[in-house]
Amino acid sequence: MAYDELAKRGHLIANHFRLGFEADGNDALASLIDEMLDELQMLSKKVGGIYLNRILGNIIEAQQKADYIYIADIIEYEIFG
Amino acid sequence: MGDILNDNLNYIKNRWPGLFSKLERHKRNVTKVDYIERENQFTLRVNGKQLTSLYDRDKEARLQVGSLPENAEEIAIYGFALGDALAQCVSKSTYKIRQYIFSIDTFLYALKIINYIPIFSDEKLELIYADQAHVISTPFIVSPVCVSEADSDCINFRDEVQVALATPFIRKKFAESSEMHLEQISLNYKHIEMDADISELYSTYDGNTVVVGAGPSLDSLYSKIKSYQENGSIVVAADSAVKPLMKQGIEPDYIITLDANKSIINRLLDIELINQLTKAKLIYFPVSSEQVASNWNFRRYCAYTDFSIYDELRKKIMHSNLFVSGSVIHPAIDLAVKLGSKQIMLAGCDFSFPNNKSHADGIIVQNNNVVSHPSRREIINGRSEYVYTLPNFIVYLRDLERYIKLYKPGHVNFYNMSRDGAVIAGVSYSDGI
Repeated sequence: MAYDELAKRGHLIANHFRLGFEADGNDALASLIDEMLDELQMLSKKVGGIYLNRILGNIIEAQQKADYIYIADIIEYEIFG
Repeated sequence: MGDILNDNLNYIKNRWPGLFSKLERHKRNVTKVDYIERENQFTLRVNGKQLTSLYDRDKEARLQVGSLPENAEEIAIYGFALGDALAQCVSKSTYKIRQYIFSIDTFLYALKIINYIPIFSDEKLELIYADQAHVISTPFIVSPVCVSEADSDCINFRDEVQVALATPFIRKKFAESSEMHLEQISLNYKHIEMDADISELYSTYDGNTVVVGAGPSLDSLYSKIKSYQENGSIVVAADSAVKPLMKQGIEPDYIITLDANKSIINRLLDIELINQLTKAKLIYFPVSSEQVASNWNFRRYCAYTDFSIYDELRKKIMHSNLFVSGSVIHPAIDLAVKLGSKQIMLAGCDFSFPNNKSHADGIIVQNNNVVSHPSRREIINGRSEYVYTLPNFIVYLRDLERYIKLYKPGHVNFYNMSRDGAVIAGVSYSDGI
C-alpha cells in the first residue's frame, strides 16, 4: 500500500478518536498497524526505523490504557505528519 | 492562578448558582489531573489519558465543531475539556449551546489556568453538570476523555453518550454479518415452516422463573437455582449457560439460542450436550445456527425479532417477536415475561467482568483479558464497587433497563440473585426479599 493511502487512513483513525468514535477507531487501527508492519521498510525510510519501532510500541501501550487522543496525536503528527 | 480560578468561579456563582454549589460540594481530587506541555502547546492528562491534542488543540476543536450541522438551533457539548470546542461554537455560531460538565476535578483545573469569562458571558450558553442529564440531545459533539472519566454521579449519562457514539458502529457490524444471517435463515427455513410459534407459550404460567445467563456470578448460584426448580420454578437458560447448568444437574425447561456463528455455538451447545437433555424445549430465531435446531430432540419454538432482516420472511411465514438487543439475555427475559411469570430471578446476568472473568467456570468461550482490554470501562456492582465491563455490555444493559421500565413493579417483579455484576436499574436483589 502506498504511503499516501496509509496516511489517509491514519488521519481518518485519528479523527475517529478525536470525535469519540472509539469503536470505529480501534477497529480500523488494528488493520492499519498490520499494514504498517507489512510496509515497514517503506515507512522506515520515511519516518526512521528505530523511531517507528518506538512509536508503534507507544501506540500499543496507549491502546491498553485507552489513551486514544495520545494515539491520535502519534498517528497524525508523528507518523503521518 | 488563584485569581483566574476565583474570577471564573465568581462568574459561575452569579450566572449558574446551582452549578456553583455542586462545584463547591464536590469531593476534590477524585480524578487525577496532570498538566503536560510540548513546545507552545499544553493540555491535561486525566487519569493517565491525554485530554486533548498536544499538537494543535484548535484544529481538533475545528474538527469537532465542523461535524455539527450549520443550521442547528441548539447543540450539546458533552465534556468541557479545555473549552476549545465551546470557544469556537460561541464565536462562530448563533445556536444555543448546552455545555455539559462530566468531571468536576478536570473542569476546576481548567478554570485554574484559563480565563473563561469572555466565553461564559455569551448569552447563548448554558453550563450544566451532567449528573441530572438523562436524554441525549442532538446534534452533539464530545470531549471523549471527559466523558469516559466522568464523575460517579454522571456515570449513567456517560453510558448514554457512549451508547449513542457506539450505535452506528454496532449497526455497521450487524449489517456486515447479514450474509451469515441470511445463510442461516435459508438453512433454517424448513424448521421455521414446521415449528411452533413462540406465542403458544405466552400466558401459560404465572409463577416464578429463573433466567440464567453465563456470567461469572453463576458459579455461586447453582444450589439456589436447583432449589428454585425443585420448588416449581421454571428455568429459562441462555445457550451459553446450558453446559455448566447440566454439569450441576440442572436441566433448563427452556433454552434460547440466538448466535448465528457455528464455531461458537458448536462449543456451547454441541451434539453430545444436546443428547444429554431429557425435556428441554428450544427457542430459536431464523438467524440462529441451524445445527442446533437440526440436532434438537424435543419441541422447538421459532421466534422473530423486529429487525428488518425478517421483513421478507414475515410475509411468507408468521412468527411472533421476542425482544432482542444484542444479547441472548434479552429474549430469555422477554420469554419469561410473556410466559406470564410474576417474579423473574436473574442469575449470571452480570453485564460486566466480576473478578475480571468474562464467563462462569466451565464455559469454553472465555475472555479474561478485560484488565488490558483497550475499550474497558468501569461500572458499579450491587456492592457499590467498580467492576470492569465493555461498551457492548453497557449497550445491552441500558437496553434491558429501558425494557424493564415498561413493566411496573407488581405486574412483574425482577430480582438479581447476585450482587457481583452490574447494577440493573429496575431490578431488586433477591437477598433483600
